[in-house]
Amino acid sequence: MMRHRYALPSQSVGLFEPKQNIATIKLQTNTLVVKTMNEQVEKLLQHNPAIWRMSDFQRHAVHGITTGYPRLDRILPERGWPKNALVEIITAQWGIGELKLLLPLMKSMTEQKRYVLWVSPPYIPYAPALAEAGVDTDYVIVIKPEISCKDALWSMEKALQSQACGVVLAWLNWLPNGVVRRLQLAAESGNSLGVLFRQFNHKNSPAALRLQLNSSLGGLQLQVLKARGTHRYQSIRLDFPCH
Amino acid sequence: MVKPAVVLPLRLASLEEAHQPPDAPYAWQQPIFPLWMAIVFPKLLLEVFTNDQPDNGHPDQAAIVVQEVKGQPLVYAASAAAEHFGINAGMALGAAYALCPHLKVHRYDAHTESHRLEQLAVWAVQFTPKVSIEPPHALLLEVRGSLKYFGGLKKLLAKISGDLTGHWRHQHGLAVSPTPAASLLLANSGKATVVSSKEELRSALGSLPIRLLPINDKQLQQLYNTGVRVLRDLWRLPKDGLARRFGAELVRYLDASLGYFPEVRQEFKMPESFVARRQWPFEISDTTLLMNIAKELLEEMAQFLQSRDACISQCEFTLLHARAPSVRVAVGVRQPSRDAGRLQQLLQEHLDRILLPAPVTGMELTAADLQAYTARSDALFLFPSEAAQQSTISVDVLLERLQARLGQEAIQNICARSDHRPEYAHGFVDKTVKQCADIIRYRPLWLLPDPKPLKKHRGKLWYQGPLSILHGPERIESGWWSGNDVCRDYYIATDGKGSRLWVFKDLKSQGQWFLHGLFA
Repeated sequence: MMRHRYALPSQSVGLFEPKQNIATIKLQTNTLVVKTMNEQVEKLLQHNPAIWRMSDFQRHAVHGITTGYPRLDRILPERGWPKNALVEIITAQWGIGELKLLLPLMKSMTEQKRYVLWVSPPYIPYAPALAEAGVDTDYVIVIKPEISCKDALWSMEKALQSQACGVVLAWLNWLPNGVVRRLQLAAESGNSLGVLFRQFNHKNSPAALRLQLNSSLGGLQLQVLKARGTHRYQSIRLDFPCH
Repeated sequence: MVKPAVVLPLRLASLEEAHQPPDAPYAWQQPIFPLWMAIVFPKLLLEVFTNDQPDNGHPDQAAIVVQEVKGQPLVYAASAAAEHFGINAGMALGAAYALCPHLKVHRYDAHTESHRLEQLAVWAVQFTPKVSIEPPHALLLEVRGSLKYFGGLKKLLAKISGDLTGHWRHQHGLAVSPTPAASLLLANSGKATVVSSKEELRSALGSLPIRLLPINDKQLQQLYNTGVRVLRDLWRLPKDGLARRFGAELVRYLDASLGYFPEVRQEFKMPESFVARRQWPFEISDTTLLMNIAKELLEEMAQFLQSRDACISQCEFTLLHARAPSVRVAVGVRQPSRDAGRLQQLLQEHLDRILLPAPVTGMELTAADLQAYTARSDALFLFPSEAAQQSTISVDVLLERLQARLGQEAIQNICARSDHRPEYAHGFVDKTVKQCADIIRYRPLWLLPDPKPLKKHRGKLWYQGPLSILHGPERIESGWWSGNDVCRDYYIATDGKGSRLWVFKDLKSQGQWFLHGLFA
């Protein structure tokens, strides 16, 4: 079609004219522009790690840290928890299984002798229950909730930046604008995993993975609100046997 | 047939080698005598006043230190500018004022002088372990053993001299000789001399004036009257007569300086704790300025610790105020360390947090309780176990920072204990203590700090909704011996919204129900 449209005015010129017609020149420049643009995009992708293509996740099969729940792994784009990012877990109330979701992660972290830091948890993390689940409590550090919100945010940011902890869990209710983004950047620069527990769902959060938890009979209804690397946000039900 | 043909030339070669003299001289074949370096600071106290205290005027200004001798103020030391006016040590204060009316006068302070000399001795220990203090203003270093390490005497001298002029800003005289007394004499004479063997001592010392000898003015005058001007003249005098007239001390001193008589020097012992203080005549309320001063102090401490091969787990800053009691800031690290940068970062966290009552006019850093330093080796290849070790180091650094800002008690480890009572089966500990506890099943991940009483609503237990029992009871009855006995029936219940709760019926208080945990 294009060829015809451009070729029209020069149709009067003989087919075997030694002079190149205008249309072919234009076409060539068009492909050149597309070519150079592609090159630029490739260059940008190579030089800036913050820009990624959706296809990168499938092609390179970026492997995260397994969640310990194969069904959950299957719906996450990195086949597990992302390695250096902030994860937001939104749950309206505590005690529906939000910690049980993370127990396999904590277990594997402490087995690798990496620390799990709890920043201002709402209740006491009960050591006998953690020990029962196989978490080595020697590698569990708790920052008590008596500190101010500002200090809690500061602690979380520093812990994420320092690469010292395997995973940083935080229960924060006061999250002013830009703070989540700052935490996400800290997690990326420190190459560590942060998990933020929230009671309310806020739109437009820059966290890499956002999960909404709801309790359902004898299990946990889990909905992916956002996941970097996919646009199919699925929801699954995990069964937690009631002892 | 081939074998002896090969062996024979080899044997010959080895014999030839054996007959040749060795290339390197064997150190053990030569007698090893000590080599003493004397460092003399002729204007030590004056330089302490002019260098360290900026209000005391420009270093180029004429300044003197005055000492009271028999109630009369005499000049103890004069700066180069003052000497230009003709002021010399030993002159009366009135005469000095007459020569230069705008003279800056400092009072003699023996404590300041000896303290600075001690600081210099601590600094000198990095060059040799054998350092001795020669009051009032000289140091003796036995450097024979350090020559190889520092790449020869020339380099060592250059390094010492560079440090003294660059860092300490002290005018100094240096001399090296086989005896301490001769080194001191040569250093006092102001000529940088190196005498490498005892045989050369006589020619080096012979032309030194006798005023350098440790004798009083009266004896000096007597010697002058007898026509003795330099040491060589003194050696020509008969020893017994010299001992009779000027005391055996002088003769012994002369013998010692030539190495005929051994001399014993008391070795300087490093202090058991570190104290450094800075004071300034103005008020500082800016923490960045304070941090700069603290950085200097910490670097000084790091150097001290390195020379002691020690490390600390706590040091204390004292901030001095003009009109308020001083504020103490304790900076602690989890693993003993001597890293100035790490301590500085921790101090920064403390300073950000505390509210100072007044501007600061001085700062003191003390570190007692030194511990032996154990170096940690870094991994060349990071194996998983080593990576874990590295992570422990960085966790320590992180936790120190958090503790500095949030307080010592805010950060704790948790541990499980062997106890049937739920409250006692869990504990907060400051440091990781390996505890062995039995694994108990059916325990919630969240525990309430205190059990919360539950109300009954329309005959049903109520917590955010009516509760229904899923599992139970589990009777826990224990601790009667401790006074905190527990007699409870525990149940797992669920509320309407899906939370699973750990509730108990207290059998001691008429069946009151409590919420104790959440199965998260």
